[in-house]
Amino acid sequence: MEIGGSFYDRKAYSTCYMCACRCGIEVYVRNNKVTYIKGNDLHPTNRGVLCAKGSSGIMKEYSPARLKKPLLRIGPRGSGEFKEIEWEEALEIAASWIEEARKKGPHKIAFFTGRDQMQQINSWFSSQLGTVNWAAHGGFCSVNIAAAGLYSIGGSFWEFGEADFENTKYFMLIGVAEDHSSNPFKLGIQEMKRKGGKFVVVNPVRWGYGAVADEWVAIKPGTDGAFFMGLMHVLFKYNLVNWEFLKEYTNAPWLVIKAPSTPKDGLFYKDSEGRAQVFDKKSGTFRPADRIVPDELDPAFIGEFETPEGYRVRPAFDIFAERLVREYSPEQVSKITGIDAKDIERIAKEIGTIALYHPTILPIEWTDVWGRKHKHTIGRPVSFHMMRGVGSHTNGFQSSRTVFLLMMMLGIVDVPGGFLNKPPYPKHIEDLPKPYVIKTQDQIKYGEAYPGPHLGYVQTPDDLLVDDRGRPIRIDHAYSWWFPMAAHGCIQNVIPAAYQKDPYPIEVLMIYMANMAWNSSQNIPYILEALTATDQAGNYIIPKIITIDAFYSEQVAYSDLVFPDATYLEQWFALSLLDRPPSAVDGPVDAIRHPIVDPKANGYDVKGWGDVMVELGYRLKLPAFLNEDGSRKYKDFKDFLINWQIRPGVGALAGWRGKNGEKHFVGEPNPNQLEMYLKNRGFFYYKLPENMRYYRQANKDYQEWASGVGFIKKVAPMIFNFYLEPLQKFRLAGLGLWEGKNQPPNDPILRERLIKYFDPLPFWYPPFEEEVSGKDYPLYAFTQRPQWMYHSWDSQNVWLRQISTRNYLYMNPKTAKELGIEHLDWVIVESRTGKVKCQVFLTNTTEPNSVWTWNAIGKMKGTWGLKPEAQEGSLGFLLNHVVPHSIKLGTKEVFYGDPITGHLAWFDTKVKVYKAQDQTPETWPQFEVKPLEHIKESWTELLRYKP
Amino acid sequence: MQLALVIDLNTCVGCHACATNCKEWNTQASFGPLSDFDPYGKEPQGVWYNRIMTYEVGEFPHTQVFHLPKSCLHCQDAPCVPVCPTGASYKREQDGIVLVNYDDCIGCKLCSWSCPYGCREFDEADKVMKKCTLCIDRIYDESLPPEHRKPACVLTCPAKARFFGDIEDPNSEVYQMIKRRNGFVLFSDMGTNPANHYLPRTETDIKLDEHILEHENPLFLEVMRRHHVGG
Amino acid sequence: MHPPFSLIWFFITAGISIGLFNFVYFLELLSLFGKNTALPRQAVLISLVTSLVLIALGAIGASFHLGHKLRAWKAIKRFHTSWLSREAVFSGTYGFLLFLYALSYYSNQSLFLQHLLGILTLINGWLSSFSTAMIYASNKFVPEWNSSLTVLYYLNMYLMLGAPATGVLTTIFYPQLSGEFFFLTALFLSLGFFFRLFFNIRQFTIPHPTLNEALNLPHNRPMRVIDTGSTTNNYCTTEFYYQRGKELLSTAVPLSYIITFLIPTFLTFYALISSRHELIFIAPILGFTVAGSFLERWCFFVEGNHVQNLYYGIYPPQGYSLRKGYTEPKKTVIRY
Ligand SMILES: Nc1nc2c(c(=O)[nH]1)N[C@H]1C(S)=C(S)[C@@H](COP(=O)(O)OP(=O)(O)OC[C@H]3O[C@@H](n4cnc5c(=O)[nH]c(N)nc54)[C@H](O)[C@@H]3O)O[C@H]1N2
Ligand SMILES: Nc1nc2c(c(=O)[nH]1)N[C@H]1C(S)=C(S)[C@@H](COP(=O)(O)OP(=O)(O)OC[C@H]3O[C@@H](n4cnc5c(=O)[nH]c(N)nc54)[C@H](O)[C@@H]3O)O[C@H]1N2
Ligand code: SF4
Ligand code: SF4
Ligand code: SF4
Ligand code: SF4
Ligand code: SF4
Ligand SMILES: [Mo]
Repeated sequence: MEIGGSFYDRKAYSTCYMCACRCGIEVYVRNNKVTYIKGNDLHPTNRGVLCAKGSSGIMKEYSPARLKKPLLRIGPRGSGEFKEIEWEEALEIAASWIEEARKKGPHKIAFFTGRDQMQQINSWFSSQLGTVNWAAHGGFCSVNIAAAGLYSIGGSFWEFGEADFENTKYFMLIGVAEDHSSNPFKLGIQEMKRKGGKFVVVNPVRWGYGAVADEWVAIKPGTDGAFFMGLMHVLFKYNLVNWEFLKEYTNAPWLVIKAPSTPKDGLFYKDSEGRAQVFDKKSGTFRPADRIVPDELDPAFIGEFETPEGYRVRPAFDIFAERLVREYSPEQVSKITGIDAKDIERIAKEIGTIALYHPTILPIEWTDVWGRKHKHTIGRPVSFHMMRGVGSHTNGFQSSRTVFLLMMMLGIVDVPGGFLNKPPYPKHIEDLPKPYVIKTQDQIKYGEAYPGPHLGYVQTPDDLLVDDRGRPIRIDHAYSWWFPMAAHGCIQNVIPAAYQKDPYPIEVLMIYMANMAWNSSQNIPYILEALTATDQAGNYIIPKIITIDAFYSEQVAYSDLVFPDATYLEQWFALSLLDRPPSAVDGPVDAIRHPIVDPKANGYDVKGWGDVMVELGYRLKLPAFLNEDGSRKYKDFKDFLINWQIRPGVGALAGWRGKNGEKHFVGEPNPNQLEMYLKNRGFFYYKLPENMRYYRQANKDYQEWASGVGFIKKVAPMIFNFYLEPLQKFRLAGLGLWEGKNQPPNDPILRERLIKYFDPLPFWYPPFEEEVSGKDYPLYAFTQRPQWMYHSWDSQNVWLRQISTRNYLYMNPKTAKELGIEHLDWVIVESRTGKVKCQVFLTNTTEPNSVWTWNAIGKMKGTWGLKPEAQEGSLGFLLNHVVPHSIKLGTKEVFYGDPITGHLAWFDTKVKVYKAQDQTPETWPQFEVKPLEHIKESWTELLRYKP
Repeated sequence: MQLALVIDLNTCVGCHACATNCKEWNTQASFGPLSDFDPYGKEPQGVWYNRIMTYEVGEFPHTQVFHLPKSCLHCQDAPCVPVCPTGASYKREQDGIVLVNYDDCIGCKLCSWSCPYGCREFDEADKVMKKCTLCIDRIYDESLPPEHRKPACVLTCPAKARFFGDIEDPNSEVYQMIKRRNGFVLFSDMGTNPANHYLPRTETDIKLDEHILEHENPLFLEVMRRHHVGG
Repeated sequence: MHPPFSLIWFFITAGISIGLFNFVYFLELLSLFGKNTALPRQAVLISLVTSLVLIALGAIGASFHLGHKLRAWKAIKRFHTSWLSREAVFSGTYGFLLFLYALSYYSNQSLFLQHLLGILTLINGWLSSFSTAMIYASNKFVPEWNSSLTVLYYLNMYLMLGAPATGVLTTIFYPQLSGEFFFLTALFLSLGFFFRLFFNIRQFTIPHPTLNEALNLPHNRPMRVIDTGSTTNNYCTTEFYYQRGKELLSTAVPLSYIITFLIPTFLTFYALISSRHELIFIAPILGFTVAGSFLERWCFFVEGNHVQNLYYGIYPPQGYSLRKGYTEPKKTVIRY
């Protein structure tokens, strides 16, 4: 046998989409089939490496689960009976359905986009349809941490920012299994470990990253907020606080009015010009906060003062300090979290000492917005990353806030060795977009476009989308009184809300890239009921469901009309700075995808959603898709990417704009822009000069540049919200003291909720489930991301599914002993809303109050191109069946989520686990649909991939 | 010269990238395809050159976890070679890579019986024995840029836990690493003398000089006083 | 280990073939020294044909174990290192020489030639069986096999099968000798019984390696497999481990003792004591021994635990053993 020989005749650069991490890839092709996918060495996100998923892209491209043609439902919904139709017919049907709905009122169209990487464009498209009802997936994903971050420091994690792995000496990973920084983390963690840094994992489970952790903090689920308050207690106690940072960059010293049961209570004390005040200890006078640096004030952090007007005022920090001292001593926290008080004290001392007494000093000069020149850049080599372990609880927003406050107290925001933003972040918090407000759902008439952004960051109750009676305007109840700061919308509520016609029935539900019938919904039996329920006349309560998907997923099986999408190797696409770009901490990055393999050649009659959107826009005669003369504006999505502009000079891609590609960021469209991206290996990377890389909250040179390219609106210090005043305004509303125009309905439970949880300073409270489930359901049940699978996508992937065709319920042996459960027993996991039968796997890697499993391994029989007997449907199980979708508060059934953002609190779920009577090795419940014909045909006994 | 992999258990997070990338490379390359049986059915079963296993050590809460990527260790006294009746299984003089020549293999499986590590997998479709080739079809491929002439698994490892080189050359990175980090081998007493080495876990621990922390913060005491907390 | 029927088949067929020839030719040899032990020509011819047919069937059967039968000839290439290679060579030459011997006997060649071929056949037969035994005995990674008992039992098995087979012939064609063969049968059965007993007893005494040794990691605490990297089986979990077999073993082993040893031994002694050296005894004795041996060989495979199973957590649990040099994970202490 001879060895060697070329493995490709063609090579192309693109961006991976086996998950949303946005790594750069080199794709090798032989005989028009992909032979090998490698990481792009020069791409800042992954620097040449690929994860398990990225390395298995080939088996996604050629998966039998792929849709071949548009599908029209012929059997009852959920039967899986479809007929393949031509694109022309499919587009006509869609256009007519949408048109009808728009005539009845644009809001009757709900467009929700899950794993969406073109959110800006999809939002913009929905605006053209005139509907208020668009959102991407943040509501069930990460909004707690995103919102907590944006509201607190004008930035957050993932595409917003990450640890400075190059310089950090202490990295704490909190509630993370894998997250979207999949490759960056692995690269970063090994880098900091090799330099001798300490890596700490805060997680009820030790697995994955836990294997290489120097310390495992086995925390009890739902108690992170308390843990971090405890750390801050110790930091304060031993004066391990970065006062300088708090003074200059945060509102911690700002004075808060203490005037109970008055409309001013809890608001900042401001002067006649509306400038927040501090108490200057030097002069013993009240001075405007914005003079702290210029006048070298010495603001008080502790104390209570009386103002000339006779207000009692306290620095925000003083209020917080009282809370820390009263309620969060290590001993008190230990009781809540199950973490030893000594460890809490030790960990706090470790991070405090490293941050304050062992700075990283970089020989980089920089100038701040006040004009001060700094000889060098001082770093604080302690960093954190948190994700859904903290966020996916009903106390997720406040718990996340505790971490951002901790970051402020240590002064590690946008400093070397700490947390670094990724341009276009950070942003001035006050300049963050707000959702465009309408007062009645049918305010936008047929033919009108929705005038402003769908999503944003409300600052006062008057920014809510509620009608005069305080009822939600959006179908997903985002920005309603129940979920006022739903910065990403509440995709998780759409199906139940549409089913309950609350606040109103809808006509067309459009789902793009979300498996809402399965792994991204909660209480699946209920969701399937909602999708199939009919009225007396026998019409579906959710009349029309259009899904844009690439595979035969559960969602597809429950749809009426399906557009088969092209894969990431088959379509033009932009990873845009307007969206969540693959930016690096030292500069903005955006990137493209482009057709590398021709789907037609492999028998797939599919179209990229972008092309379909452009086509629909034209057929619906949406003004934005037409020239003045009514002729078609965009040929296809490629043309759209080049010529579409959200503002003059700003389009989907920032690189090589201007007639000949001589301008970056701002400039008129460049007809050859995409070719220039291809020449540059598929991405655009603008590396900032060293003096613009740190302290960007107040970095003059950076801000001047950033405002120049439109990332920010002004050159001015970004003051972090140690004290989040907007929350207090909602609290006042709850108390009936809000003087604005929006008043909450007179529902004591709702008002109680606003008063209790909308605390402008973070605190810990037990997850809601503790109250309703409490002792009867003693264990927390949650999931983890398997590093080798992306949600529901990869059971179709021959290579990846071999790693896990089924999942187990992991449990601590001690817990099992108490419950009389043995290794590999089949058990019933029961929550207050449902049951699921599964097999137990005992392991010491799991904290005794927790049981967990890998996410989204279980599948509906007949889906995903798998034979009905596949283990995914019979041994694999879905925990979602037992996750409550709502909670009874008083008389009202409220969607289950964080009271502030609406974030679906997956990991609140509490269960009891007991040995199943029936030990037959099969999961329960099981669901089944018919596989598509062409899928059956492609079932081979043996796969030998060698093009 | 003995080429080999050195795997750092102090950074390996068990992500399976090396396993799937190995499969991806090798199924289309010289020693492919790597068959997958019943790919979409009940019990998919494929041929892999590299598999990742995870082990736990000790009782909660003192649990340690580690991941073990396991591919052919290219043993220097490879027991799988002499037992092969046809010579299909052989160890290359020039670089110590242990290979199977598919054309000579009669599929008697004896070599796999003689591997204490379970690193050989029989391909029922080709009826020949398969195993890690150390990507011999990459490392000598002149058409690849020099920095790409490395095993696929090494290039892709996101945790940079995999290193490739000549463990007999004292100047090589791998040699140095084995010495410095006291690298070890699997089943050291099986007389196989594996070429692949593993680097053990080492925990970083922090010692603080407590004197910075002696005094409690006066502000803290003031707050306690004002709110009558504690004594 | 997963029991491959093709190999078990070869064990038995080769066993009877070589065992039978061994005795028949031995009688021929004795007759050289003036003892009239030689069997009647007809009986010898029957035995030779039987041996030939059996070794042929054995070889054919064994070839089913191979992925590529047509390349089987290549198996001779590694004679100097591979016991399998040697087995192939010796069993091949054995068969070939046996054939020549049969011819020379049939065509009444000179005694010298006959016995030259006879001796060579005999030696090759034994070398072949020794090689077969060594394939298993020399495998360090299946401790149950890795013992001289494997060889002893196996060589004895040939005689244990050969004796009653020859016995059948003698009772029919040469009753005067049948007594001796009842005696020999009894002898080798008892030997076999003891070898097998020791083989089983040894299994309790041999030190099984542990996961700690397999991983050789600096941890002196128990280790458990929590993920094998695949939720379905693969070659390594099916070839080296046979769940169903393990479950049946507790019944299969005693059963194989009863069929292979107890019943035949009882019958043999009964026949000897009551000195009824008749076909109705020796035939069933042969039948049971052969049938039993099939089962015994099946157990032999299933009893074997390959050390690679440690990595998959499917090796017999042994607790864990401390090995010298084991310590807790190293700590690098950073001072601040
Ligand atoms: N391979 C892969 N990567 C992915 C994904 C995927 O499906 N596969 N999904 C992507 C998506 S959409 C997202 S949102 C991210 C999510 O990334 P992660 O945040 O890593 O999401 P999870 O896997 O849910 O991890 C939650 C972790 O929190 C722990 N945990 C549970 N409850 C608590 C708690 O109360 N406190 C603490 N401290 N920890 C807790 C769990 O043990 C688990 O390790 O991952 C992204 N990356
Ligand atoms: N129990 C539990 N449930 C969870 C979570 C959890 O931690 N625990 N995590 C939640 C989180 S954070 C998230 S983000 C959601 C994710 O869940 P979803 O948003 O539902 O995302 P996926 O399951 O990844 O896939 C959605 C759909 O995308 C389709 N798809 C794949 N590739 C393409 C393509 O190229 N084009 C198109 N048009 N479609 C494609 C798939 O076929 C699938 O139907 O799950 C949520 N659900
Ligand atoms: S992390 Fe993996 S799957 Fe996600 S984009 Fe990067 S390579 Fe692709
Ligand atoms: S790719 Fe690297 S980190 Fe991932 S399993 Fe393999 S060796 Fe470990
Ligand atoms: S690991 Fe196994 S297959 Fe590889 S050389 Fe060593 S014994 Fe042979
Ligand atoms: S299976 Fe092939 S390589 Fe292995 S011993 Fe037999 S002939 Fe040699
Ligand atoms: S060296 Fe090559 S063949 Fe061996 S495991 Fe790595 S990728 Fe696979
Ligand atoms: Mo997510």
